[in-house]
Amino acid sequence: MSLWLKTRRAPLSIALVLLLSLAVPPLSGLYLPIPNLFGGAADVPVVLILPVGVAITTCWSLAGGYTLLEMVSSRPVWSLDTLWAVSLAGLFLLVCLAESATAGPPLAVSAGRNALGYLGLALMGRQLLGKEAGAVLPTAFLLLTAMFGTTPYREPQPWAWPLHPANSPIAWGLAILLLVAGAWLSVRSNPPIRGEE
Amino acid sequence: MRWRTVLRVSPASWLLLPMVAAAWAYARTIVAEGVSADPYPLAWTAAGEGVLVWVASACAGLCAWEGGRLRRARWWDKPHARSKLTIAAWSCALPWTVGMCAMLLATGYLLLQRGVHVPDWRVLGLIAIQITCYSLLGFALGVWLPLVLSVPLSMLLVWTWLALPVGMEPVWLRHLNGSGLFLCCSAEWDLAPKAVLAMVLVTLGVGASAMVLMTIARWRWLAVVPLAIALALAVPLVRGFGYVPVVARDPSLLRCAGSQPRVCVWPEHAGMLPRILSMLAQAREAWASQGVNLPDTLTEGQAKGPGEAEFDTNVKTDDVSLKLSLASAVVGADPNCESEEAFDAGMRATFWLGVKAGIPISEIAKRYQDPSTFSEIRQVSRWSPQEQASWLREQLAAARSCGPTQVRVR
Repeated sequence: MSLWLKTRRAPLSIALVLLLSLAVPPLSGLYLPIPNLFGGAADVPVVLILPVGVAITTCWSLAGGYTLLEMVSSRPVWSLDTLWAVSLAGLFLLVCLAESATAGPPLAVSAGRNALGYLGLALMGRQLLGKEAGAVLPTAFLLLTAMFGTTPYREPQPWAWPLHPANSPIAWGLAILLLVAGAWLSVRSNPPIRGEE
Repeated sequence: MRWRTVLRVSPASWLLLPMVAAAWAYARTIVAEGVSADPYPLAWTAAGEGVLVWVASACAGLCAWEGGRLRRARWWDKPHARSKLTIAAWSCALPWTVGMCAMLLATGYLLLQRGVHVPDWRVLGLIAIQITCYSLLGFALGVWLPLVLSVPLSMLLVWTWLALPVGMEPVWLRHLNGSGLFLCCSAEWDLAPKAVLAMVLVTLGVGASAMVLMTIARWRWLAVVPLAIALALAVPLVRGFGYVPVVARDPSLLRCAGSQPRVCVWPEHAGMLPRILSMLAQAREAWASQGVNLPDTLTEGQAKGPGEAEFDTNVKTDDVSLKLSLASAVVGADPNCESEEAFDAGMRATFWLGVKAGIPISEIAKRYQDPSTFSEIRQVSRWSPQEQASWLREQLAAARSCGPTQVRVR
């Protein structure tokens, strides 16, 4: 296990996720004014984008192993990887919930929720595009959400769950659904090998 | 590498059509939102900058992928006959071409929507430099960082860099990366050369940093130096600009016609000259009966003396708005006056001259919903010509001298 933790850069990954979660309150006042495809300029809060960093960190952490060796490992490496990934997103969510409970920014809970959804997309991306390219999927989705994701009345589209408020059941449902789908895909098969770093 | 192989292995070739389609769809939105009513090449070319935030991010991501392939194959760090910059240029050629195709199509669509056939070459050049430098940045991150980090980080970095300054204070920060160009410009403004220079400097600084990052193996932190130098040079150039980096347009471009008054408009409004002259011919007598004479020159440029007055218009302006714009020019309110009372006096005088030029009071009231002003205008319309002229003189004096006025409504 210690070798597995070492190849997953566990201490550094935890530190990075904690750093990202602690950046939520100071960044809560920053917005990206993005001209939106359906009219108007959507002011996208930076803290709703920040959790994509959790997905990128997790993909980087999971890319640390040597796939060919791990394919013949006696341990359930893919299950451990999935558990590790979900734990990192869970850690981010917990810190965000704690920040929100201690009079932190109201967007902290949305940021925590988004980490779950982005991670789900990243886990799916690992299966679809290869373990090195997993984070491209949540990043591309994020850019598309900012581009297409709001109505001319500046309301988020139903599918644009990252932009929904913290109490949106649709957003929570979609984020958790993506996480479960990504985790399910990760557990049942190893990501395709497209070269090792 | 053969082109057939490049097209097969490069994601840029697969993304050509989706990127071009997205850029076109986005440009359609910009048209729907409205940039400028005039067929002004600068305004409609600069509107294309709105698409750049997506296209540059995608180019950076695609170039990071190309760089990542060379890194993953452990090929980049080996000795090469060609320079690293040449290799980077060839690797980035396809993503760059795809990005430029998307930008040219979006900008071309915007220009043709307003019947403009010649773009503003300064803005197009800036777009080309931006796509080049952000592509190089993506490539540099690709050969430096593992693929798992470089592609998403380069996309996010470029996207954030291009989108964030627009939401930050001071407002001139947006002119460092060109994102303020999106709002540029109505026909009386031209792009400030200092701002263009600043944008080019900073973008080249990004490109130079990318080159340092990809060419040196140690002391990579030195890559921030070119960008820091570029920012240090560019900040004094743009400090103090407002939301749009503009200067007054060259007055030698004005097209003039008529005499007493001579009317000068920007080339985009040249077709409106007969309409404006006929309107003034009709209004001249009505305004003279109120003791108001037309200035020697009415211009869309900057008035240079007491005989000149400024007005503004655009090709979509209807007769009512055009008459009010000319009336406002004749009123000649002090533009630096902060007194609300003097401002109101200027508005009353403008509306009254508009009424005398043939605009129904109900039409003005419908457009500018201010009940108190219009009840006053209605009452003035019932007075004798001498009383009306006397009332107008008071309003004009207050508006022009930024002083108080007496409301003499019976």
